[in-house]
Amino acid sequence: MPATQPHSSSGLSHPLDQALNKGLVWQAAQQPCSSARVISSGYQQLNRELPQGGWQAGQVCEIYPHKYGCGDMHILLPVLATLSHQQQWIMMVAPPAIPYAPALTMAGIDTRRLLMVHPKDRKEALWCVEEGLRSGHCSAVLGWLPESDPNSIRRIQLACEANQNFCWLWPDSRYQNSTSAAPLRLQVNRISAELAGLRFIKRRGRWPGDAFSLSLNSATSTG
Amino acid sequence: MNAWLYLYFPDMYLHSLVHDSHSPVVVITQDQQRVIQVSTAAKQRGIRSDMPLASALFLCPEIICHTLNQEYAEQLLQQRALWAYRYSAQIFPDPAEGLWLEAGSMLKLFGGIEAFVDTLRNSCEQHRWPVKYGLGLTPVSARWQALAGVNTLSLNPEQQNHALQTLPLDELHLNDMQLLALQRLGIQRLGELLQLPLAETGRRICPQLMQQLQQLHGQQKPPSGLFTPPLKFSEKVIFSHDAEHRNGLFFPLARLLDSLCGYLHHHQLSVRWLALRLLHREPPETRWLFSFASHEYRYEELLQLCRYQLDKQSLRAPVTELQLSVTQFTSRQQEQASCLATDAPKAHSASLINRLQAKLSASQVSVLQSTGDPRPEASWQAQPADERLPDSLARTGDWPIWLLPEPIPYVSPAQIIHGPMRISSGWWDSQITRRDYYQVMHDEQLLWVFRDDQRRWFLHGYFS
Repeated sequence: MPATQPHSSSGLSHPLDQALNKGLVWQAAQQPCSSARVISSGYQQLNRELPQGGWQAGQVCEIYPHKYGCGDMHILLPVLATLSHQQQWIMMVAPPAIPYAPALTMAGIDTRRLLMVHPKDRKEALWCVEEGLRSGHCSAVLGWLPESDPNSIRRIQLACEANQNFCWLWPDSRYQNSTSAAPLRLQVNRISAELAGLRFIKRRGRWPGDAFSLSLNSATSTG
Repeated sequence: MNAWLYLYFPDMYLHSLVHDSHSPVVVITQDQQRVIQVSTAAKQRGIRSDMPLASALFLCPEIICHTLNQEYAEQLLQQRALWAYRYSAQIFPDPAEGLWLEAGSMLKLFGGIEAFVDTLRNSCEQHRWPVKYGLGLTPVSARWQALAGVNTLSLNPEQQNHALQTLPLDELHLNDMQLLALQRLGIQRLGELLQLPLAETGRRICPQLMQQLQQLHGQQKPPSGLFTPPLKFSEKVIFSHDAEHRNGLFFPLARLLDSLCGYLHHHQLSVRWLALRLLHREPPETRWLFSFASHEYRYEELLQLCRYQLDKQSLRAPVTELQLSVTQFTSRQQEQASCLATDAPKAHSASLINRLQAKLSASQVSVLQSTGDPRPEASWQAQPADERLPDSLARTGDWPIWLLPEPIPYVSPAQIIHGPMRISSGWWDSQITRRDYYQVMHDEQLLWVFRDDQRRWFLHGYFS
């Protein structure tokens, strides 16, 4: 990739080059050709909005629901159903309430693959998320992190990338406006009983994009 | 070469009890009716074994009685067997206070039968165990010679035969009925008995005796109940300088774990818990039990688990000695068999649960099980993560994803989207549930609320 070669021959390098060398500037040309596993989200409309046409392994997605219970879990049900039929755990770290087993079973999720972890504090929660990703025994880790900071998200993203599994995080809503290493950041609100409003505030490989509405009943089997 | 050594420990139970040689001590049966074993001092007062306890007390009112504890007697024999395991590979404990040792294969190692027997006798002397031994070509022959106290040290068949011919029958621990029958026939020595036809002996005296006579010469059937030494791992590290912080324990522990893993590899075993004993300058000592969610034998994994567990502990005082012991093991074959079961992922992912439970606690890690109960509170259960769960059944309906642990009181809803859905169940236990559930839209949230039979509203879940 010539754009990233250091221009040391000229002696003094341009500030832009310096920034490029440090990897501070994202360039569309550098987009890594993806050989990672992609699983359809189950919603055609959401697949169109996701950079690789579905959820991609090795990419942390931050989810910011506008309110508690506004459809943010619903959009993950098809992909979780697919993952739950693999012989690995889906780990839920510090879920905000009890995942209601009949609802999950109805969505086709094998609840025996769900591993609930209830950490005592933030430090333990971060450790659990990272350990789950690094262990190689989890197909996905879902984490509700009460307080988030860029470093811990970066660590989680590195673990996720190294092990090529799936990770969805629900960070503290105050964290929404700061920078993050997560490749995907998604805002969710509920428009009506069947309609959720989604907006990517960040997606690696594409512009953030506009808000769009998603019919929660339009899920198809992800296969 | 076939050779058997029988070690008979006369009055083993009595000798194991701590007493001085001047006091009359007897061991009595569990029903406290008869005397079984008699100390020398008691013998001098005229007490004999198999005497009723009442007679013994009449002869010597101050005797000290110990009731036979069968469990302890077995333990004693196991201890002796463990001792004998140093000298022979095949040990068969005899409940009648004796041990059979397979000697034939040991002769080369010890350099002859004399050296073998001498080694054993010396060791018994050091332990102050009275012992009688017998050497024979068959187990029965060895036992009878030991009981009669014939110390033949030759395996020559002729000499063996000669020794057997002259054995007095009343020394062979036969029962009263058998002895009486033999006395009536005027038979006193084994040689005389052996001249009679076997079938006749069996019919007239006792079938069991006939069986033993058959085994005396013929069949080489080893006695049943081969002794296997109990599995136990115990090693310790004594510190030259006291360890004052738990981090100081980690490296010695790693060494012990390394040794443990060698042991586990050698025996093809795995462990589920480790017991650590820490000695301090002042008692009491500290004991830690590190248990894991599943069996483990890999060094790296054990080391990591111990590191997590160690992080949770704090030291009461500086440590002078660290001991690691394991007494319960599982064979690895069993685990592999369970891997083949349909529920395979548990075995694969057990190490994750192991780590989580080591770092947090077992109660913080769980799996969900749906029970099929229509009542929301009873429809799910948190199970320990190492539990194998049955497949859950799907129940049709529109269910919320999040359920609140406790319903919260709620106001009468303004915008009902869907409902009511009636749940009326639980007549079989005290938790009768009669509720109408509604889906309610409120402030961009889709809620699951219900009205109970007293017309109160509660929030019970979120559609997310």
